[in-house]
Amino acid sequence: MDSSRNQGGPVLESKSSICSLWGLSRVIQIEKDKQETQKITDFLDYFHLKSAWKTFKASLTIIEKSTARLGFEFEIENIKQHPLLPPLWQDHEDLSLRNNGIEFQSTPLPTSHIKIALFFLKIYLAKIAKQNPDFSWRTSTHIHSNAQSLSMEQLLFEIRLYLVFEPFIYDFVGGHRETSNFCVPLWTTNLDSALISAFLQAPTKEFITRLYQHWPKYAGLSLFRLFDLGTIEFRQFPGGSDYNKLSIWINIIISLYEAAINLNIEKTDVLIKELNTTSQYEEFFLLIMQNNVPLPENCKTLLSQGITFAKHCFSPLSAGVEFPCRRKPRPKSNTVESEY
Amino acid sequence: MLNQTILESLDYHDVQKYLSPGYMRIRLPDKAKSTWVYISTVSSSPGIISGKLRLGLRNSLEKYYPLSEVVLDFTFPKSGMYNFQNSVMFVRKIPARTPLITVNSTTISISPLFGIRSPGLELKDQRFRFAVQYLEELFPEIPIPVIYDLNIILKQLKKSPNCLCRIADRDFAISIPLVSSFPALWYRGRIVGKIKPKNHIQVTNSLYFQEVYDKWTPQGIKVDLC
Repeated sequence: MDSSRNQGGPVLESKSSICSLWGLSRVIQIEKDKQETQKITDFLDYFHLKSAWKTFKASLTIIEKSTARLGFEFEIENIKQHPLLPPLWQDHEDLSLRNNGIEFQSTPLPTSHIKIALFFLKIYLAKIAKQNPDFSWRTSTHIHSNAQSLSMEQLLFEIRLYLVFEPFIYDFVGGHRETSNFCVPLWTTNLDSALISAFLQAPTKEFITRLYQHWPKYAGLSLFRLFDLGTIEFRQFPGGSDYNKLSIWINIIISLYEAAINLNIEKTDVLIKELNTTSQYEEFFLLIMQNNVPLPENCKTLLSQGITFAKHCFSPLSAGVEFPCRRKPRPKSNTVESEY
Repeated sequence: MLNQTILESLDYHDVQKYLSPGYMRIRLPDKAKSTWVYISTVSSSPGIISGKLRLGLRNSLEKYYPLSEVVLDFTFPKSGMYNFQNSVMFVRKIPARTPLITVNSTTISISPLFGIRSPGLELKDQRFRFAVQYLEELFPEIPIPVIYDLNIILKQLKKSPNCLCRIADRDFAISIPLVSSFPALWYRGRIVGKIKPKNHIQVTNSLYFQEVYDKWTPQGIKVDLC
């Protein structure tokens, strides 16, 4: 499959970054990252956690290096007292939770810091294990992916890729997330008309703002924080401490981001439109996920479902439509046309 | 997602939030089958898990039933097309900020495929008697039966002179169009082909040829491009 990269060109509004168009203050600071790294090293040394960290690191799937930056929200119930938090984490009250529920939020993490942040959370939860922290059915794990450096075209392209992979994502996260009210799959919602307009028109600042204003917070892919945090939020992952599965989920999000940045949008759009004719589902999966995510057994079924909705959002509704207003009287002559 | 076991473990404040106000399929103690009912309130004393549901029924009555005596059906109607009266309705979920799991104006959108007004299809509280009746008609069974026999669907269309459209499944529907002489094949809100005589579908929107081919060819129907 063709995975040629974008060529440089004149900077149009549609190619300017989300960050510059909406005047967001960038949270990405290389210097801050270096300071955090030093803090992490000191913390591991001080509490003699280096060997435990090495074991944990080795037990997880490799998280791919990327320019993506992710922020995590872990919802956990039954935490009555929470002592001093480890580096990279903050805690917030979450009113949607019950029984002393707390939401643990990470700082915006570069991919190199994700595993260590998960390790810190793990040892923290082990520390308060006597309280029986509970990942109940109400809890979930949300991941914010930085979209500040994406252009509007790239953002819409990432949404299109998400639509193709949405059934795969819900199959991957499992459980009852598909029927949850708090991460509704886009293919089941009435957002298709908004998406059709978004994909068929040239992206302008006003248009993206309108799309954002109509976007509900509780969709599986949420744009709700796009214009304050500059992120798109993936809400599908259930609450839990399966860090290995979580690291594959992180790779899925990183792969979508990398594909949005690196792939040629026009050529990939053509591939999407023709995918269920060419049936190159596995090739397309590998093109986007780049061996970072295990190929599912039912790849064809899942991607063909996603392609169906993505294609629906690609083509204008009015094309070839003949609206019936009333029933046509039957012709009296006995011709072929009169059969119905 | 919420199920009977989880529901029984919840405090009554939460039960109230998840169930009311809204419509749900419930099997009442004196009935053999589940029916649509309107849950107006969940009442209970604090600390007591087994609350009472105040239900609006089809015969315009309101009754109290203990939660332990009824069986709740947690199957939410799936997004897609559904037969309704002489036309077809498009049902989709609304990702709204609500913990409600029941069918309500805030949780699902029901819009007619042809823009034809469907009088009385309101899911508001005060209209529950009518809405229960409409929901029974819209979602008679969950999951809905699938018909991939063109002749059966065309017979359904012929049966009533005012019938405009019937569904094959949640994705495909067949309608009698105004302009063309042949019935039209709909795929998720757009016309993609024509139904020709002798089990033959001619696809008019080439973008959807594969979808039509994959669905109808295994049923012994010839599918080709216009």
